[in-house]
Amino acid sequence: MTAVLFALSSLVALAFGFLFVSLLWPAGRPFGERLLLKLCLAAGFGYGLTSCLCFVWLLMHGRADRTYLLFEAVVLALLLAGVLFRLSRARGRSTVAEGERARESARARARERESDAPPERWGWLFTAFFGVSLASTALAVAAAIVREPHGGGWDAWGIYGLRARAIFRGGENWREGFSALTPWSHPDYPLLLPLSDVRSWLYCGGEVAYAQSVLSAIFTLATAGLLYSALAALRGRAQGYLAGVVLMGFTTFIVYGSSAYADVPVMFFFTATLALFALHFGSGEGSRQFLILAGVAAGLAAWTKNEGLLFVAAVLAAHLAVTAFAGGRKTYARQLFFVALGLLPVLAVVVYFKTWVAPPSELTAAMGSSSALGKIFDYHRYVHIVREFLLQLLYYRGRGVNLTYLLAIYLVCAGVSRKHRSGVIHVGLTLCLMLAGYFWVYLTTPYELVFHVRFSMDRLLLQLWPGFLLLYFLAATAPEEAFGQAASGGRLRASSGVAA
Amino acid sequence: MESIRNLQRKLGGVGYATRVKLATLLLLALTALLTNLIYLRENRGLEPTTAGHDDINIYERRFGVLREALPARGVVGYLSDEQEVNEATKKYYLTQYTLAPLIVVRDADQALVVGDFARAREGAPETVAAQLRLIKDFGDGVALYAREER
Repeated sequence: MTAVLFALSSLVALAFGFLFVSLLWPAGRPFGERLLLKLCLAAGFGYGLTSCLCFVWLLMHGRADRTYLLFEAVVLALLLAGVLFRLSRARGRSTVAEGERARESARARARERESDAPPERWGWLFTAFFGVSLASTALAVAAAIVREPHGGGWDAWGIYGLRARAIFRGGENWREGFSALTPWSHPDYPLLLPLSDVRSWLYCGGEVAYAQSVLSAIFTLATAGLLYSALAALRGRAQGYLAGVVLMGFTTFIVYGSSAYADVPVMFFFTATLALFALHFGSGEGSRQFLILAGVAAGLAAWTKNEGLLFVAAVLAAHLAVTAFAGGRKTYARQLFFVALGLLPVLAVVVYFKTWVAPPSELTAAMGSSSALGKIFDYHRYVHIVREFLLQLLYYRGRGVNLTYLLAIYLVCAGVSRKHRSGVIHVGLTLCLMLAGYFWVYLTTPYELVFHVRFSMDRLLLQLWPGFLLLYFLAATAPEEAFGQAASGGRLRASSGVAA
Repeated sequence: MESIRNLQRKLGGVGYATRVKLATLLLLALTALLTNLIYLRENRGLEPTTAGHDDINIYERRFGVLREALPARGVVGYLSDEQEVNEATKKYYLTQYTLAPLIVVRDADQALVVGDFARAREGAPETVAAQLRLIKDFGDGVALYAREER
């Protein structure tokens, strides 16, 4: 019975996310368009937004009990009503546009059938690779959850699990769970993961050991699906499948898949934000809804981990750099308005939590202290951090093969595309700013540097890894283009040879 | 052999550049796929002996009765006989996780102090620190002490 109720809590979160994404999806497009992309976004948005809702309910009601489920049902019904209203309004207007789109997609399918370029002929192979990788990842993660239902490391239960228990068991005194007497449990960490636990326990009527690990697994699979579907929309299906297979080929991604660490959801929200910005840049002016959704995703990243706040700053700075230079101040201000529309409500929840509930972060406090100044002038720290960054990237300390070298070789052979320049610059700049931010955190960390680097760097890089793959496969020439060019080049060369 | 010759004939019609690109593409995709599958093969075991017998379950069982004897909220102290630093930290974290929402601090300066003596084979010690009196030995190395007023 517990498993059924737990599944129900997940399905409701998914429905919540799907309705929210559908409500904000660009107007004038069919409801079923990009269904996988919507579903993957819905998984993350559903858990993220319901955890925000749960926090608001905690503040209003004063305790976490099952009356929350009624509150959630009311909000869910409102979302459903909003989507139905939008659908009924759109139905009458879009008949002509839909007819044109249907003809265009039929033409595209016909082109695919006629083409004899290898990736299009062997499309099934890419699908099979992706399907097998996804199934294998799901099995490995499921086995890990059975072995360690509470999660794969101390942080899973020592930080997030502990906070969830303190809120769930604490009743009216739930705020005592944020006591500064246990600074090692980082009571300043945002609450997406703990409150998602609490929410599912409310559905189940009691604590469920595997809730957090399953949540982590859902975010892992959703990240793979999101990377595939975003790239499929932007660069073609073969490119999307390839990116997904490469992502799941990095075993660190699978290891943390069931870890129940917050690094997994934050990785999802980083990827979602960057993908939605890329979709906006790839769709032109009429895609302000992607900007609103990107704002929500960035806000949810900040609601998951403190790194999310750095990410919000990085992604906004990169957006400023890309848009202000290319489109001018007016365009930038208009776009920023839509990003803020999605970002600010979630950020308000984070700010309230940080100001009124959580004690100050020891990491942030230490960065501003006088001892941080001494660390900035210690070149040994620079050497150590750079060396560890390079070791992680070049030698890959995860299990299995380091695919970085193969990615470099493939890029040389396939070539670089200039199709999504704004998206590429935006993602690249955000990742560079994030790396610079992480570097600064390590430089000024109040913890012992070697210890801090050893136990966190792989996770920090994992957070950015799908974003890097998004950048890579946005920039790399898609197989369809690469083989199409080469095939037509080959035919030209052959025909000129015959003529000679 | 015939099928290989067929493949060679087919690829013969494809340009050199295409073949190189195809080879790197397949190399990348296959390496990623195989790494994934090898990881699954190495980690597919469900190891039923560990499920339900991990540290957390052990602590839940050991501290279950003690939890009922403690107040619902407040702060309690913690003492352990563990010498190894990492293991001692882990045990303290596990105790806090098990006893939440009570706040467990790692010292004996509290009115109530939880004893975690996994190495004690003959029951919890009567006195572990000055002014601490054993209230109850719950067995399995778990004990509760109270601070005596002077």
